[in-house]
Amino acid sequence: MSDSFLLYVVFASQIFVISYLLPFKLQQRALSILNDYPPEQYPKLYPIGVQAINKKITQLMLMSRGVLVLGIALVVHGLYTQNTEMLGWDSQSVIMIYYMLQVIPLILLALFGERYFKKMRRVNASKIRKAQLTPRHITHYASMTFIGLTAVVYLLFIGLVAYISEHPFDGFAGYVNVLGVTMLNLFFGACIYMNVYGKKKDPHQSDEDRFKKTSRLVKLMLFCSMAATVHISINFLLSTFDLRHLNDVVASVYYQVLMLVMIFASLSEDADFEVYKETSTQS
Amino acid sequence: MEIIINNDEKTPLFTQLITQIKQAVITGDVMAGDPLPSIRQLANDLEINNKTVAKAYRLLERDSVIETKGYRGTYFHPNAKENSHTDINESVTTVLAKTLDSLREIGATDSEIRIAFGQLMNNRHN
Repeated sequence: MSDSFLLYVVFASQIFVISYLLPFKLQQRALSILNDYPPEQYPKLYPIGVQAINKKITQLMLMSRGVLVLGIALVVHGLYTQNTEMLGWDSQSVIMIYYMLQVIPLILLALFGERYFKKMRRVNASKIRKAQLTPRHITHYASMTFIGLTAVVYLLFIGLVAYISEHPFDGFAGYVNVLGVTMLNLFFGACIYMNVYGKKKDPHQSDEDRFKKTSRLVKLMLFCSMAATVHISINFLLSTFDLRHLNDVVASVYYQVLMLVMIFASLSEDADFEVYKETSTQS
Repeated sequence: MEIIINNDEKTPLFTQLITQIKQAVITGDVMAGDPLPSIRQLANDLEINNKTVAKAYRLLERDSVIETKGYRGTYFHPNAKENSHTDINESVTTVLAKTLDSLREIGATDSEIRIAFGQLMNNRHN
């Protein structure tokens, strides 16, 4: 299989996974919740009307479809023109930019979720507030092994950068790469901190559900940290061994794995919806 | 151990916190040496101001129900159970009552007592 053909096969998979499969799964989940937990029986779940929710889902699906069509056009163009680089430019840049377009609907969905919870908090009429009198630590949500493994991956990356600095390849940025990965890890760390110690987004959520959701997110952030570090390390190794042409394929696989893990972690939630009934006194 | 506060109650929020934490110690729901959540964590969970929780913690530390160990966090005092029965408000009322009786014996009027008390409190703040 030629490198170009492999690239287009993997890229086609990226288009399918991120712009078709994931939005489809998210839409299914949303419609299933709307069907199984209607506003008449679970009023606290709906700070805004069902129509507004459906409208938002439709908008995001249309955006994803638009990006999907663009991706198919890119593949058709590439196979037709037989260019070794996508759009006659730089395949890795095209893949990265396309990925950023693919995640825009998902980012907008996340922002919609934040506004949704904010509205839920605003309309929450209850004046009762509850809290546990025990401190929370990251180790309550992820094992020391998992946390330690993340730290080891980071340290190994620093070691790899130090090793490559002795015999750098063309374009190698040296220890600036360590700064970049450190900033990325600080970002993931900040996400973990905000979720472990921050305010409760959903005012009706039970303590058990909050624990499960936070656990899921902490593990996800640790996984993202490891995945990003490993991806960058693989890029460096491929460049060192003169296999840069495979970087494009690796990048596309990385984006797909990342999105699959993130989305399926979200979809595996088994929340307690009884707290959203009118008679519930959870919050 | 769950803390429950009611924003509609007339009792100030920090007082509700202090009462429930002391009650938790008395009933044995928490033990000496157990850690407490950070001010930020408790304030975020109860959706109240950090300063309200900080005030509650300060007063609990004054009463030796809790103790702060710097960066290591806040813990229940080794003598928390005995100290939780102490109510400084009761002591304040008792001492003031005795002082008022003494002042009335020497002939001071209620108005004179109030003005003098107010002036002394203002001077203390300045």
